[in-house]
Amino acid sequence: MKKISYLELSSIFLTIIISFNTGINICILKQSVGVNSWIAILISYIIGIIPLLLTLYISNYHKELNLFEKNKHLFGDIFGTIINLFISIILLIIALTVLYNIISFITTQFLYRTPIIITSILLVTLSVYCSTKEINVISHISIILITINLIMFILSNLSLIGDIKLDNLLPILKININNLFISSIKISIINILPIISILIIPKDKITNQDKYNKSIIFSYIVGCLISLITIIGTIGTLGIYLTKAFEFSEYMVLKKIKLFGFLERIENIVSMSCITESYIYMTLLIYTISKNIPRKNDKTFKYTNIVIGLLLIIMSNYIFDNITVFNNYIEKNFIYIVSLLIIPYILITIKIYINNKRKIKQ
Amino acid sequence: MNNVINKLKKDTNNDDNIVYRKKKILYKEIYIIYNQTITSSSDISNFIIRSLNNIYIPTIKNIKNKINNFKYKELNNYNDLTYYLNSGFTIIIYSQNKYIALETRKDLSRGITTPTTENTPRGALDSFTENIENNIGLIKRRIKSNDLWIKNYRMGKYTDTSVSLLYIKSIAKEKLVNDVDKLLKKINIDGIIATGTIRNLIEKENKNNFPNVMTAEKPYTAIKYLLQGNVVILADNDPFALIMPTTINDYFISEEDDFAKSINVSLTRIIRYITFAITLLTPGVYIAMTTYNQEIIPTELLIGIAAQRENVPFSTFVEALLMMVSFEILRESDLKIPSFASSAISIVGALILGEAAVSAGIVSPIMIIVIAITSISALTFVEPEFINAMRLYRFLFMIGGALFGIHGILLVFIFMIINLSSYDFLGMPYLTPFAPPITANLKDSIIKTPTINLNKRNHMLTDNITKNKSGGPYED
Amino acid sequence: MKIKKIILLFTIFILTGCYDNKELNDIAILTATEINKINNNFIINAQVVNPQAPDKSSNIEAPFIIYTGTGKTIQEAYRQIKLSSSRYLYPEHLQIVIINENIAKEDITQILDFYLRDPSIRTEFNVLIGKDENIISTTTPIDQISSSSILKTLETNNRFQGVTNLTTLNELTIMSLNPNTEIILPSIKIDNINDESDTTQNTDSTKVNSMYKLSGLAIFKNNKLLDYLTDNESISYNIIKNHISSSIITYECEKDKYLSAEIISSKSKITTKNQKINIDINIKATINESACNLNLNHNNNLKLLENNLSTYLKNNISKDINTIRNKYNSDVFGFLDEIYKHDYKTYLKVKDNWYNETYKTIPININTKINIISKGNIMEGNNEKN
Repeated sequence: MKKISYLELSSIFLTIIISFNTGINICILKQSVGVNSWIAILISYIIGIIPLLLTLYISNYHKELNLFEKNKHLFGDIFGTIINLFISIILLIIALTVLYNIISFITTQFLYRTPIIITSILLVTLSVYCSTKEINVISHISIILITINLIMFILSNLSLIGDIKLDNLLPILKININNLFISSIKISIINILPIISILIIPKDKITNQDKYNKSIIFSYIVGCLISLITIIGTIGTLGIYLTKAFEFSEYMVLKKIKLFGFLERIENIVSMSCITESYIYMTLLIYTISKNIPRKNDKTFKYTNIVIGLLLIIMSNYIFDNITVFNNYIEKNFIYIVSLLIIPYILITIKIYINNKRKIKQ
Repeated sequence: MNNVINKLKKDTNNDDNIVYRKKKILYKEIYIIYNQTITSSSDISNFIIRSLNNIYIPTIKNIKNKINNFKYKELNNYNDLTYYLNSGFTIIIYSQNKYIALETRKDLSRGITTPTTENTPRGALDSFTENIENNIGLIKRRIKSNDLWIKNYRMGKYTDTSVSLLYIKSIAKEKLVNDVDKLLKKINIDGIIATGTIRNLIEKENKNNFPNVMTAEKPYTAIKYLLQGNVVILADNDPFALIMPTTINDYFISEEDDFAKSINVSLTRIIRYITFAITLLTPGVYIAMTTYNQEIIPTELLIGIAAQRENVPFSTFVEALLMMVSFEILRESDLKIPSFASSAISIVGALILGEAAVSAGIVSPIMIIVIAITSISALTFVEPEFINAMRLYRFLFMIGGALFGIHGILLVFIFMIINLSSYDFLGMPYLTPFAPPITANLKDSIIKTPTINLNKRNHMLTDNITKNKSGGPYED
Repeated sequence: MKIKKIILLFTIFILTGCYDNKELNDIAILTATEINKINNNFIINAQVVNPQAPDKSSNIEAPFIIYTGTGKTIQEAYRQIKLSSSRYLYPEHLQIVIINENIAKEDITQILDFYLRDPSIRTEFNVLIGKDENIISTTTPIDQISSSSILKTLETNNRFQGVTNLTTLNELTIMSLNPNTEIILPSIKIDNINDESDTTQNTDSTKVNSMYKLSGLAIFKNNKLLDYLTDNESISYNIIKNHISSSIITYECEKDKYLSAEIISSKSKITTKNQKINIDINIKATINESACNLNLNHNNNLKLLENNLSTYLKNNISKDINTIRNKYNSDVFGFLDEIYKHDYKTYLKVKDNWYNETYKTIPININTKINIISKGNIMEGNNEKN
């Protein structure tokens, strides 16, 4: 069996938690908490430790099985299938959101006149093409792209250090505390609950199993840092008023980048990292969903992926008319849909707990 | 006995080159058969005839003992007879199915010369020749251990080429050797003319157009990879050895690196990786930047480029395509033409593709610079297959850039990464030191750590991970 | 299989066509815009680089071309240009936008809205207030394209004199959106405008006829232009807001005898405590020119001079602050913002009555410290023989 190294695992995990950094995170935070967004991010990551621990706990149960097989093993065929379907539908909606988020970013910032459908077809085709390969291919891709992204992220933020005015993050906590908690719970729902999809990789597939927990926690901290730096960089550089004024304020910040005195105006290139992150995330989601569907051989696997891809393209073109609708959808519907993921988390955890107890008794 | 002779005559259509000589020793008539095109007649007369003359009692044992030739082989069927006859042996036909083959091969190969494709300023200057025995000898000269194991094969229905699989038993993974062995045994083909044929037969040829199998002209390269746990395939009549499986990083390493200090090597490696990026991306990024993302170019430079492009009627993509194709034509013709005409080519190339094209308003001067840096960067790599593979992706990048700007470049980049990382030849992912990350090999990739620290092998190639290495720097 | 995939990719690429493709031959690089408003109509002067001009052999054509358009909105005015322009106006390289004072006196928010909304415009260009019309159409010597000439002048002035500062659209927007601050913008005028000023003859003689000239900062209140600061007030403002890297202090050391000190680096910090504003200014300076009988070899003399200079500067700055706040009553220094950020309790108390009461009366404490780090090549004063 082809194995995945623990570094690749942490890179995939990192993409899951940071791919909503562009667009959605700030969009939720800037209106409700304003300058204190960074506190909200911190709190959200502290809240997110609960699903993280649950994920780690679930991963230890029958290490050779992936998430869907685990469910079937735990709950039996019928109820397991229902839970799997439930998870798959939510993941499909997340994939749709990731797709539309990144497409709206591309079409509003670079390709104004290119129809949305073409951009979505291109991205989804590549995603489906990649997801028909095995999970280790996805992990190879993710580690390469994430390494490049991290280098770009560090370089761009280093060059922004001169522009960041920490004064812009003041005053601290002069807002409604309830708002702060609600927004941070929202952020942790969006960013951290979907990590359930990392369970599609059975723990046995990792080369260094004793480093499984360590690598996931490490990338959790890195993800937290990246989100924090993005928020602090954006609000610290632009100030809260300009951040609120722009649709994609974290992209506008990149316009200030000046590397080594001559590399300026490279925001197009730097922002590619957002696209690659979302791309890997989407690929992983498509892979995860298609794993759930029973299949006879690799060919049906391919067709499943193509069907999911088509579904994504069609939905992304017909559900959202424009970005305002999308933003409303994020605030009004998306968060509640994703929060439903708590149910399988709790069910699986309780069932595993009971099973383990029973084992000990025997 | 005459049956054999007649059959042979019939099979070879009474070929004049095959000499049949009857010799009588006492009562026994024996036939001496050889093919004069591939045998050395002086050898035959000096050794065989002379020693046969000294034989008085014609038993087969006697002949074997008395014959002066060192290399002989007893044969007993017709197929072996034809094979040895055609490989330059002299056959003594003793009876209906008792033959003795004696090596009297004419030296038809050229001597060991300096390599023509792998030029390094320092390092050994011998290279493989067309003779497989010499080639194995060149390797054996460098690896004296008994662990260098060789498996021999004969391939090709008509050519009957001998092919050897070399590996170091205690380093190479058994599974790898068995896999290659199985693949080689499966081959059934009319003829093996070049080692490239073997390579194409054992891998999925077009799954990944980057080379997974390195061709090496120098024994040095073969040894280096043998010591890492790779296997080497040599074929007769081809001066290029095949090394497999290789990864992308191996094409960035040159023999020269062994002579330089690691910090200098690291700088060179960085340059090589940058040239890799340049040669893949430059035309595509240029097209993307001048037709989509003009804001990246500084204002003054943009005005300059715009002024240069003012009289060019083609779109940037067509312009780049024209120049790329004409450069490829130039390179192709440069490889083929005899050396006396090469100066003409260089004049034509420099003048027509450079200055004249600009002044005629077909291309802009900056495009010449772009194509020049692209092509020069491509030529820093030794493996021609690697250069050709980069060319395909360069065109893809150009198309991506022409259709979607920087975003298209990104999509093609992801496409390329998917293709490269999904290819897995003989259990070795193509992007190995990077994805999956393997620390032992990462130490010798973009940055080379001091040689003393490179004490591990890739665990995907070998179970024998630790290199036996001790020793330390001189200390006062 | 692989070939099929590549063909599929190709077809996807080819079928899509190039929606956003713009060849360099099809775009006109817009480098500067001047916006004016007459009779409720926007009038736009768009400066476009003439790409033939950098070629020295054909120096007959003008280095840039000015297109003019009018319309009810800025976008309409821009589109009107396309009636006469053969190429698509490419705005990403916009370097400066000059807003005529006619608009600035009314309201500049519509302009901000237009430039912030369009994703193809980089919001990092510089904004100036134009005191005259047709500033960008005047030809300039040396830097032939007037927009880059103006931009470089702004930079040079900011580096060596400090009368102006560089305000990008983003900074302008922050000043405009933030309810606690007011807008301040550099301004530009044109000297000696005549019929020839937009032809190449303007730059033919050694004494250029008509030239643009930067002038003091324009001060706003509620997004409306009030007036212009004098040069000295502008320098004081820039010193307080840390927008300066170098400037000149001219100090009367004896009667009718002057000394000039060059500011090498200047750092200022505004802090607030107990409804008081503190401004700490740290300056490193060199002595460039002196008409006085001063022996700077003595430590005491140097200390004395440093003290004198800092008191002089302090008085100047406090005078300027008081003029600005009494004359215009516009919080361009961002004192209220400072209070909002660091002293939220006080902010709640003062924000309602800020302009009515507090701003005019709030005590401002200025600490200046000048450190003379060099006195030039001369050891002693030149006037030693007296």
